[in-house]
Formats: sequence, C-alpha cells, structure tokens
Amino acid sequence: MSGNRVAIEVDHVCKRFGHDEHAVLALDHIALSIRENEFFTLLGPSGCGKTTLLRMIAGFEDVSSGDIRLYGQSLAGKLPFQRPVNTVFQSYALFPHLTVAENVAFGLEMRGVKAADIKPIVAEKLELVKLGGFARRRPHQLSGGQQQRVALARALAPSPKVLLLDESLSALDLKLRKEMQVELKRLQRETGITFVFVTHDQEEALTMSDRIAVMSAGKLQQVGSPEDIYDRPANRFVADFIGETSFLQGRVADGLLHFGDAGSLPGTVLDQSHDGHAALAVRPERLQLSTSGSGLHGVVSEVVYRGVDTVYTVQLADGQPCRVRNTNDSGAVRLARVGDSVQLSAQPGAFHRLQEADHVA
Amino acid sequence: MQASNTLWRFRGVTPTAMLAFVYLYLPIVVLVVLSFNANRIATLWTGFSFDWYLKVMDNDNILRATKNSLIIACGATLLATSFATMAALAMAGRRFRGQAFINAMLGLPLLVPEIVTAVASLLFFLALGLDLGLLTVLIAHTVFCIPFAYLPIRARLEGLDPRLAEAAADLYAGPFATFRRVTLPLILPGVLSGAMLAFIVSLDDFVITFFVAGAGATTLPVYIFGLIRMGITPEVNAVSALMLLVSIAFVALSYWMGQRKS
Repeated sequence: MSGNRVAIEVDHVCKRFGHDEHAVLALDHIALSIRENEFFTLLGPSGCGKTTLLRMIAGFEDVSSGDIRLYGQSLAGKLPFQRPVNTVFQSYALFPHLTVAENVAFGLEMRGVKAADIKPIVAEKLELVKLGGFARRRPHQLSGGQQQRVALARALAPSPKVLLLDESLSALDLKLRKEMQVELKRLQRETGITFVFVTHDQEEALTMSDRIAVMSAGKLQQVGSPEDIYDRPANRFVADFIGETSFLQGRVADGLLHFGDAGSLPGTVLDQSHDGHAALAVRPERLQLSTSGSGLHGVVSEVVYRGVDTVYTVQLADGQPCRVRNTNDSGAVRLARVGDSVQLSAQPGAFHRLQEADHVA
Repeated sequence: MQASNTLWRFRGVTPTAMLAFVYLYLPIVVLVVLSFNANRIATLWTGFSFDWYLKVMDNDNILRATKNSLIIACGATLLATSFATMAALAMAGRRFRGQAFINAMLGLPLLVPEIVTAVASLLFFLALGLDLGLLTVLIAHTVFCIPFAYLPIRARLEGLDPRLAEAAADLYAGPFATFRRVTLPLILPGVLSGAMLAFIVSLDDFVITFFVAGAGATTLPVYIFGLIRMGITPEVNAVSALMLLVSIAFVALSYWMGQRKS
C-alpha cells in the first residue's frame, strides 16, 4: 500500500521556545521520512512535541533549525496558505457562519476553482464522509461526530498532497471514536492521500497506522510499523508507553534466561547475541500462569478481573514483580488467588532485550 | 428568581426598586409628555398638540444643527470603528511586549474627565493652526469614540477561536481573504455594536463639541444648550424627545446586535 516515494522529509528539525539560555528545546533534531500514501502516526504523551511538529508541517509554527521538505521542495518561508497540505483540527474549527457545503467549498474557492466545478466536488466529498443530506445545515446543528466528518470533507476537498490530523478523534466518545478509526482508515485507502495523524492514544495508533513515530520529550524514540513498535520496542520508554510491559533484570547464559532464585527459562529472549546482564521487557499476555509444572517461581500478589481477561501480579522468587494476563475461558474459574504459589512460562521470543544504555537511564 | 436570590426576603426591596426607577425615568417621561403640550409655557399642561414638533421641523437652525450632528456622528463612527477594529485585531494577534500597557491606554480615554479632553483638544488644534469647524469636531469625536467602539469588538474577538483563522489560512486563504471571509463576518455583531455605541456617544456629546466647534459647526446638543439659555420652551422639549427616540433606537439596535449569536 505504501509507495516508496517520500512525501514529507523532516530533516533534523529543532524547535526552541524562548531565547538564549532560557530556551526550551521542544523538538530535538527530529529526522524522519513519511512515504507517499502512508498512514503515518506521530504518537507520544502530551507535551512530547508531536503537535508542534504537525503545526510546523502545516506552517503555523516556525522551524528553529533544520528543514521540512514536501516532495523534495523545502517548505521554508512558505506560509500556511501557500502549502498544499490541509489540516483537520482537534476542535474541528468549522466556520460557524457558513453551511456545511460552504465550509467544504471554502478551500476550493480560495484556490480559484470555478463555481461550476466546486459543486460536484463538494457533493462527492460529503458523500465520501456519509453526510450527503447535510449540505445546508450549519455546524452547530450537527453532532460532534458529524462535525468531525465535515472537517474531514473540508480538508480533503482541495485534494491536498498530505492530510494532517491533529488529535482529531480525541473529542469523540469511545464508541464513535472506534467507528471513526475504521472510517479514517477507509478514507485514507480510498483517497490515496498521505495521512499524518497525531495522537496520544497508543491503541488508536496501532489500529490505524502503516507506520508510527513514537516521540517523548521532544525526541524521536522509534519509527516503525505497529508490529515493530509493539514487539520490538527500541527502548524502555517505547515498551512502557505502548501497551503493558513488565521490566525485569535477568542474566543471559548458555541460551537460558536466569532470574536468580526464581529459576530460568529456555530460549525465550530475542537477541541472545551476547551473554551477561540483560534488561528485559515482557508483555503480560505473552506469559502463561499455571499452578503446576515448570517455569519461574513466584507468589501471586494481586488479581484484577477485567471481564475478557484477568491480570495477575506475581512477585517472583528473586523479588521482581511481573504481570501476567490470561484470557478468561468460558466457565473457567480463576487460575490462582492472592498468596498462591505459581509458575510462569513464556512463549518463544516473549522476552525482549532492551538496549543496555536504557536500563541505566 | 425569588427562590434563589435571598435579597428578595427583605421587605421593602420592591418599593425601593420602584422608587429608583421613578427617579431615573420620571424626568424623561415628563419631558416627553410636555413636548406634546399645547401651551407656550413649557411646564403648564393645557392640551395635546403636535405643534412643537412641526415648529422644530420648520426651524432652519435646528435642521442645520441636526445635519451637522449627523455628518459628524456618521464620519466619527466610520473612522473610530475602523481604527478600533484594527486595534482590536492587532491586540488579539500574537502577544507582544507592552500589550497590557497599550490595552490600558486604549481604554483610558473613558476615564479622563471630558473637560480635560475638551481643553486639550482645543489647545492642540490652536497650536496646529487648524480653523475650528466641522473638521476639528470630527477629529475630536473620532478620538473619543474609539474606546467605545473598541470594547465590544475586542470582546467579540476574545471569544473567537484562533483556530478558525488558522483553518482559513490552511485552506489557502491569504490574510485579506481570511479577514473578509472568516474573521469579519464572525466579529460583525461586535463591530456593529461598537459602531452604534460610537454613533450615540458622538451624537450626544456636548462638552468637547462646545470647545472645538467653530461658528458654522454647531451640533444639536450645542444648539439646544443655546436655546435653553433663553428659557425652556416646548420646542426644546420636542427636540430633546426626538433625540431620545433616536438614542433609544440605536442603543436597542446595538444591544440586539451584541446579543445576537452568529
């Protein structure tokens, strides 16, 4: 689905707020390429700089140093209205004094498209977002989800080279958000436009994206496919931010993973290239809990029933806490209660070895 | 209201309020009633008549003064509202050094005693060597109308989502197109409200006009003051009642504009 051409090249971009020694580095040498027809997500906690980066691409923020290129052309010095990219704002920012159709037509009018040509495009875009009958309504007569769709149609109408979406789903309730996630993905496929999506919601990012850039504190942590990010987190931050993770200290020797008094597991770590101390990350659902058999020894210290699954916190015999998530089968009783002695076994490759530098930090 | 506001528990609130309203509005009611008095002596009611209104319409001096008033009010409104809109737009944009100070300076003329402004304006015009006349009145009015026009426009801009202008720019609208197609339509109720206020304040002004108007630039308030010096006639009542009517119409319109949601 993703072409090989690079649509947006972010070339060592920095953003400083303030002056001199009081300057805050909001973006620290961000370098990434967004490919044509890609659903690319900037993911990170609030204040990580993801929205600032998006606003720089749109032209609402200046670049302190570095360069942003669109299909090889530098965007430096180009004002927002001179850039062939459109934005779906978090608050939608629909023009309240214009009808839905006038909102969608706005960008086309400003581009000098003839009135006769505008009408069919507006109708088509409204159809695309399933708002065919709403052309004459005003924004305040629409629900949040409908306003969201108008904002999408408005941004898509001028056929931008890149569509920027700033936390565009965060104002919707959960059910509507799920619907819109599928919807956005469909729109991206159908229009073939490059989407750059900003969110702090990791599930949203994993669901929709072709590739994700994880950011924290103005720095790029990792860029990769959802599978890369989830299964092979580059560092502790990514492992912690995306999904649930237990962090354990262990030792790799002779193809085994040793956890002191808790025992050892065979062949369950990715990257066994060198023996010795290892900082490990493991997803709770990749571990299996049992009351008999072999594995790491521990005692259950907490049980949280969550309907679809149950999360156990197990205090390993070497003192490290570790979480295990087991799916609840129909009619099954809980595997263990607080205080029970249990064994943990792992699927092959469940443990991911983090860069040594990270566990120090 | 009676349930939530404990003030109403006290006895005598209603009579007090009524008294206050009588105090505020009885003189005006008396003026309007007496303007329909048939008697030559303004304060002695003898019968109903439209005579004084007809006399007003027939009085060249009054008509000339009215014309001056309207020219100045319209001119000052147009200029003051334009300047006020520009000032409000500048103040609503990016934050800059000394913004709070400038904001205070924009509102300050409302607090300066009018007589001070009047004397200062007169001295200023004399120093510049300008002949007193319609032009000097227009300049002076424009100046004191700016804060009146500024406040409602600023308030309206304050409530405007800055993302809307960004959205317009994002959709290929340059600064001027953004203003014309998005910002102006959205702040229009504030602009009109400001313009109405400026118009009324200008139409109403006596002190400053009295100082800076030359012989040919007599406005209606200044003319009425001149009439009063020769005694209160029913004619004065009639002119005043007409001005009141215009004022009420504009204030009501201004209020309605300000209230109207976009």
